[in-house]
Amino acid sequence: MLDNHAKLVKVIAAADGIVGRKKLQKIIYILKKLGLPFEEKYTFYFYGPYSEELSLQIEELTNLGFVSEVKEKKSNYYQYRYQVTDQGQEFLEHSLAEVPLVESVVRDMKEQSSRFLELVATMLYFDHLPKEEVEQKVLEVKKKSNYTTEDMEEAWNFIGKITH
Amino acid sequence: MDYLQRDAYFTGVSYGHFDMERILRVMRPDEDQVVIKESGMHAVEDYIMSRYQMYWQVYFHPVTRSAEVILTKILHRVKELYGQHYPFKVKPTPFTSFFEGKVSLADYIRLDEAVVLYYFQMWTEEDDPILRDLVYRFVNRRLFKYVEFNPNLQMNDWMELYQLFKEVDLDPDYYLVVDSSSDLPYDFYRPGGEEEERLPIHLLMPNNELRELSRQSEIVEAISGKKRTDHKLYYPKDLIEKLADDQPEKEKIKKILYKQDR
Repeated sequence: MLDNHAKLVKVIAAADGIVGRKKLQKIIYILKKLGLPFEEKYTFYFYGPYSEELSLQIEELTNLGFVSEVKEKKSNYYQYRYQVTDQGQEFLEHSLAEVPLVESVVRDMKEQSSRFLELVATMLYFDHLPKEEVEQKVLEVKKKSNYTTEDMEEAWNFIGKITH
Repeated sequence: MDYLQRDAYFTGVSYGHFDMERILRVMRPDEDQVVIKESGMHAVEDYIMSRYQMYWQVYFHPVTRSAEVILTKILHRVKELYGQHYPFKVKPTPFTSFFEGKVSLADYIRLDEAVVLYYFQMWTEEDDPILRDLVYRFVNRRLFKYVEFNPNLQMNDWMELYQLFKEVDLDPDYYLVVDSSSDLPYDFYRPGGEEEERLPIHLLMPNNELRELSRQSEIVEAISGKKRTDHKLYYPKDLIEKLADDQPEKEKIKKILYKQDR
C-alpha cells in the first residue's frame, strides 16, 4: 500500500528532514537517475526536472500526517521544511516497499544548495549527450542562473562521487 | 487545455467547455513565460473552473478510477507473466518493448486503444486466472467496488485485509488496491507556494505589473486552497460475496470493509 509514498518518506527520514520543495524535487530526481526505483514522472520545467506527481504525493503525505510541513519565512520568500512524524515512522515499519538508499548520498545532497542540485539534476537530464554538449545545453536552458565553469566542474565531481 | 475539451466531448458531460480562442487571444509573451492580459481574466477563470469540474466529475470519479485501477493491474499482470515466461496463447507483442524499458516512438504510437482492447478481448481466454479475470472485468465493466480509506487511521485494517485476502486465495497485489489522488495524471491549478517551484499563471496588469491569478480572482482563490487529496480502497465485491458462507474469512473481510457503514 502506498509504496511510492513510503519510498519518499524513507528519503526524508534518511536525510533527517529536508528544507525546500525544490530541493526535495531535485533529490528524488537525482536518486531516480542513479537507478533507484522511484516511479514519479518528471518533465523538464522552469527550474529543471519537476514532477507534479511528486508534489501531490507530498501533499498527500502531509494531509495523512506521515510527514510534517512547516512554512518558514526567509527574508524575501517562503520555504517549506519536511520532517517525518511518529505516524510516518510507524507507516514505514509496516510498509513492504524497498528502496536501497545510501544514507550518506542522501545526506550529501541535503547539504548542497538547491541551486547546485538544480544544476546537477539538469546535467543528469541530458546525460544521453556527450559532456561538452551537456554543458552547452545547461548554458542555454539555464542562461539566467549564470552557472560558471567551476560550478559545472563541481557538479561533475559530485555526480562522479554519488555514482560510485 | 485541449485534453479537457476532448474528454468533455467524449464523456458527454456538459462542463469542461471554455473559450479557448479567447484565451489564445489574451495571451501575451513575456520575458520567460506566457502571461494573460488582465482583461482576459474571466476567460482563464472559466478554464480553471472547467479543470476543477472535470477533475471531480470525470477524472476523479470513483468509477473512472476503478477502471483505471483494473487497467493498471492488467498491465502489471501481463508484465509479471511475461517476466516469468508464461506461455501466452496470444503473445503481448506490442507491449514487450514497454516491459523491457526500450520503447521507440513507433512502438508508442502503435499501442493505441484499438490494439489494447483487442489484446484484452483475446486474453479473456488465457489460462492465468488473474489475467483472465481482470481483462474480463475491464471489457465487460465488472469493475471493483470501493470504500473510503484513510491509510493513516486504517493501517491495521489494511494489514488484516491483506492477510485475509491471501488466506482466501485472492492475490492482494491485484485484488486489494489503494488508489490515491496522485495516481491520476491530471492536476488542479496550484498557485506557487515556494519561490522557484512551478510557475503559476500570471496576469499582466495595465501598469505592466504581473499578478498571480488567484490573488486577483476570487473564484480561483476559492477553489485553489481546497484540500484535494483522497484515497480509496478498491476490491472485487463479487468475489468476496462468492466465498462460501461457512468460510470464517468472509465475515471478517466484510466486517472490516463495511465498518464505516455501521
